[in-house]
Amino acid sequence: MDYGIKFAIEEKNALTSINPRDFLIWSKYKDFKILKKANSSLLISTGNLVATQQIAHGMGYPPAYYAWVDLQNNGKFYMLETNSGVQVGSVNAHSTDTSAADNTNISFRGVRDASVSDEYMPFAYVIFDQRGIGTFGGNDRPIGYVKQDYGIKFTQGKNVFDSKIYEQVINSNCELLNYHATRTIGLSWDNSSNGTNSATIIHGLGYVPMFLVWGNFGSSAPSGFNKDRLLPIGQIAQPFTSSAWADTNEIQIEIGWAGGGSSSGIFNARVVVFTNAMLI
Amino acid sequence: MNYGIKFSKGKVDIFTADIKNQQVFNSGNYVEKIKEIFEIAVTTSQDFGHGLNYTPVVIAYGTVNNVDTFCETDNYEVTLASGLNGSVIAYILFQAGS
Repeated sequence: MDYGIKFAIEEKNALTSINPRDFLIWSKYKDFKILKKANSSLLISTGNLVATQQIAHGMGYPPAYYAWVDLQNNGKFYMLETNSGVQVGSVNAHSTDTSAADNTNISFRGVRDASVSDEYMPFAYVIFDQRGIGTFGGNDRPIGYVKQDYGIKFTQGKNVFDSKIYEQVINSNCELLNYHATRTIGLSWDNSSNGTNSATIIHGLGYVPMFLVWGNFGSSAPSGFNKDRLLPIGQIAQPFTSSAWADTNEIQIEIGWAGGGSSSGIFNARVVVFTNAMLI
Repeated sequence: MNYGIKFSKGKVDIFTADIKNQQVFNSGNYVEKIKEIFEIAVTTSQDFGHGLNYTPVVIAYGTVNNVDTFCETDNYEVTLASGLNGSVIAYILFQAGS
């Protein structure tokens, strides 16, 4: 039985197409609804090299979430678990690590190399309706979510009046995570000596969009790396380091590596840009 | 584009709602659809066939910090792994793959 709601893209037949990528919405597929989008700033105070940002979410279960951090307070928002200095032995690099979500909080740690004075790391975060690990429980909405009794709700197979937000296809009080574009770009590397490389994607949206980046080494994968496997930026194993940031015009991907080897190749980065803004 | 469908968020005026913060849905944009959700619990590693003829991207979360859990994808499968027999959940995305 085929029921529900389908919005097909131009020149595709909503009645006959079976390719989910021909549809803007197909109500049998779940989506990511943004329950909360907020901006704040992490302070690493004088004399300290680290500070932990902890945000109570009120969901009662670990939510799917993400955060991007302006590591050097210069308008460049980095993916979590990445470093502003990918080069081996970088000085005064800034980074985030130990990002986590539990039943009560989402958190991450800001890190820097020098502790001369107070330093702020602005950041943006989103809490989605879908869960991280664990099971749904408690509330279906975070602290600060204002329930509205007007608007549009679509559910599929659920009573719309008593459904949880994560059971709904659309709830017009929540932004949907909207796909904008995917761009791929290669970064050459050569581990005969320490090195770095960077590449830029121009998104040209005029605001800082939500984005994520993955990458793989393709046919030139160094020893220990699977050539076809995509991994998130920031989780590419040693001896490589990787990061990516976005500003109002572009997204930059950076890699660094340790020398002492005899291999070279291309690191293939896949940048996914969403229409949703990071900053309110 | 002055045709199609728009839903604005909350009480925002549909005619002035901007796409980056105030629109729920605009028929000029794809909603990022989740093809499938894979999970492992108290397991070291497991592969899941995703059935797509391209490499999807995946948003994944794990019980241990990201260094110890990982998620990899290729044209055939998704591998979820947790170095400490933990849990990983992975959302396979339709639109952002290639």
